[in-house]
Amino acid sequence: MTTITAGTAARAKPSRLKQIDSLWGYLFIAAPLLGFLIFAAGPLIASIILSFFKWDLLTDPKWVGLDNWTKIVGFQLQPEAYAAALAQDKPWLNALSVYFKPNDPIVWKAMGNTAFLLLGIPISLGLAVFLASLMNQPMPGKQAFRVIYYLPTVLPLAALALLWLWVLNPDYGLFNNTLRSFGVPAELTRLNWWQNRALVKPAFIIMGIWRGVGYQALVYLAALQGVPRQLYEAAEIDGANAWHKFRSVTWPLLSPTTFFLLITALIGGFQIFVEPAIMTNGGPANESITMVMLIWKKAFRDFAMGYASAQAWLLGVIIMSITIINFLLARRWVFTETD
Amino acid sequence: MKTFTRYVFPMLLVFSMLLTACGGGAATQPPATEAPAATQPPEATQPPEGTQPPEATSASGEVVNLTFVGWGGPEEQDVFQKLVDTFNKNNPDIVIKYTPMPDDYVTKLKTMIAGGTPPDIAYVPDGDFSAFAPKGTLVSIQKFVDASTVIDPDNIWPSALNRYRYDPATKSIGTGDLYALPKDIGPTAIYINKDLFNEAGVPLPDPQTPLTWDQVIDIGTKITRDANGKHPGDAGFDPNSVEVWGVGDIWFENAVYGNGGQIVSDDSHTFVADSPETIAAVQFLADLTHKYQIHPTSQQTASQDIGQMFESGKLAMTTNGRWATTGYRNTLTFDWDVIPNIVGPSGKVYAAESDCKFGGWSGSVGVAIISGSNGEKYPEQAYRFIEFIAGPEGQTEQAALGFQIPNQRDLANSETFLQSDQKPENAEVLLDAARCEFPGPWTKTPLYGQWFDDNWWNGVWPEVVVDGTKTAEEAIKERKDAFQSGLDEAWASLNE
Repeated sequence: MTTITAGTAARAKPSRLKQIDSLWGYLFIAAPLLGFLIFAAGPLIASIILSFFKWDLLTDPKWVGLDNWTKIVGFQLQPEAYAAALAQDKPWLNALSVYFKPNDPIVWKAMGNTAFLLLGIPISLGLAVFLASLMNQPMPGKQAFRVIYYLPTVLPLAALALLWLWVLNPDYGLFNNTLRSFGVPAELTRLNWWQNRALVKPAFIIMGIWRGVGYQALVYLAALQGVPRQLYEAAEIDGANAWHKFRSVTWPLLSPTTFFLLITALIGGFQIFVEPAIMTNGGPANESITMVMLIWKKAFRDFAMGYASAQAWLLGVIIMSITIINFLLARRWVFTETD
Repeated sequence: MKTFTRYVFPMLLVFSMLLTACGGGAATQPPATEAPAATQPPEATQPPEGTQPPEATSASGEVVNLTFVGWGGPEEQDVFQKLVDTFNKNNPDIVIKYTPMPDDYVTKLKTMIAGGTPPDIAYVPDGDFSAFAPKGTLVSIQKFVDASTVIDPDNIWPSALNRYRYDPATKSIGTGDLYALPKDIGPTAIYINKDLFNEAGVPLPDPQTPLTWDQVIDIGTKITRDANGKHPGDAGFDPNSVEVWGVGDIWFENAVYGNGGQIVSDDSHTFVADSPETIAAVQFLADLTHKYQIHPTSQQTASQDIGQMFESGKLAMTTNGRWATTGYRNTLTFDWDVIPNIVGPSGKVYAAESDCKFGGWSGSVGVAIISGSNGEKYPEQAYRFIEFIAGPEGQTEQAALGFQIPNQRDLANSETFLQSDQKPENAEVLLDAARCEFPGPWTKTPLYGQWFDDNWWNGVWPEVVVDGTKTAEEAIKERKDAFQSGLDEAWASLNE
């Protein structure tokens, strides 16, 4: 009864009860909000400001303006080197890479490494769909499979890191032993993946897929179970085979799930840090250093706080842009219920 | 009850959420307990055992409380706690509180300084001295050393002492006033597995004569054998089934200095590793693996690293520091000893004294007073503790553990260090090493060697020594400009 009378008076001024209710509401969200402001928003703002300073923790921060930023994203043009490389008959792409001389080549190397590691995402998603379809079949022991595939996601990353160091070990590792039993020649199986410049990133991709596919498969499984059977039956009547059914029924209905998994995997992938830091410390000759690892190294090993803050913001902007682009592109391929 | 559930309980929930929000975010707050407790009552910091010292007063009539931080494993922590307790007992006007910080020491120290709660006395590793001293983080102790009756600078290894000198006028490290005293010096030498030498029929090297490169190649080839007993160079030698290796780590400074080469010039402003002696030394290290096959490849060290190979008796010689001796005394199951670092064919040696037969790298950690702390307000008292640690009494206590060589040369030449009833038998090799070896090339340059790390460990080293895809000459000369400009930038950063 009080609400009815309060309702009509609400347009003029909220009733006392509503005010008290709102007050409680604000009070309850005050704590996490305060936490966010003090420990997240505050440092965020501080770090963007810090990116224009130079600070080594021992002396006071020094204003340097855009210096940090030009060092990170800037590059110099070297037309003479470019001309010289062309004159030596070097391929055009090679010469182009000499034309641009980055001010800090390691930043670009880290960005390139991080981008390479993202290649594992489509592979992982494809594998996850496949696994989910398999698990969707009626068969005994489905529960067991779900547990097995999901287990890597819940195991501590540091333990997995050590595990994988040994799995890819050239002498005793499971991976190489299996290859050897299939008759793969010794030159390939004796390779130390983690110390090999060409193989260290694929090794991380393999490990990342192994770890992430379980979670993605489970999410897909849940989504698959939401696909109405009538659609499949209708497709069969129209003469569709398994591939057609997948392409026209399953995939579009899974697209929101795919979108979600893609975004979360991208955001996570850009921030890979623990595995390279523990296992290869940036890898042989910086081949496995990722952006977050570079930020950490600049901040806590080289004590260049301003520089690291600028790099962190660069990473943040990149991630945000990619996410926004994905959201914009989503309209083209994500099939929602309303279509 | 209604009041409780409606009002009090939710308020408790809200406040508890606030507290968890605080706790969750404070992952990297500097430990507040480290703050110098100038007003802490002395009772709280008394040693656990022992008698309560009389609450005597210093000349100014009050007890000075100082905090001391360092790192170390449990044995080192025990030794230092004992030293602190002894010092507190003998100096009733000072109370030292020791807080070990075994992990991430330098980061924690810098965070404490940045946060405004610096410790009073702290370990300063020689590599980080160049980051601290030019920024005014350390307090000069020269005048205390001059007036001291405990410390005799002439009796301390010059190669150790001079690392902690800094001259603000010329911004150079290695000359000028002392800002810290060494708490140890850790020279390096080559540890050998005598049993493997005897098995292969190779005569043991003479501890007075450093091995030359040719001798190392010869010994390595004779000792390295595969599962069929073949040696490198024999027909059918299989590098993938090697059971015993001849040569392990040879630290690059040891090889370079042993050939008379340098990485930076004497004034540390010029990169000089493109000299023929240095290039030859780096090439020799690469050849050990790729040409002579007497050193394991990076594949082979994936399962067992060089240290583990030596300890399990599969490697005949490897470089290590004096600090490894304690562990080796307990764990090695074979007969072992030390020999000097190797020397190259140039006939020159870059060493700290002119009569040195070999050179190499030695590490050291200093103890200093941090600016802006209580230690700076009471430097005389803080210095008294430093000189206790670095003086004969503190050094004897630490040397008994076996980790290090005493600062004092006369102590080092005595049974305190030589411990002739224990291995290594050739302990004098380590004394020569302490006398002759230098710190790493980066210790005298600012920015803690970033200019060096990126180009050397991520550039020259993997290409030349690990992978063997480039010669030392190509790799070093290619990067010479990068090294030099990095070094110039590092020096320029001091002027900002």
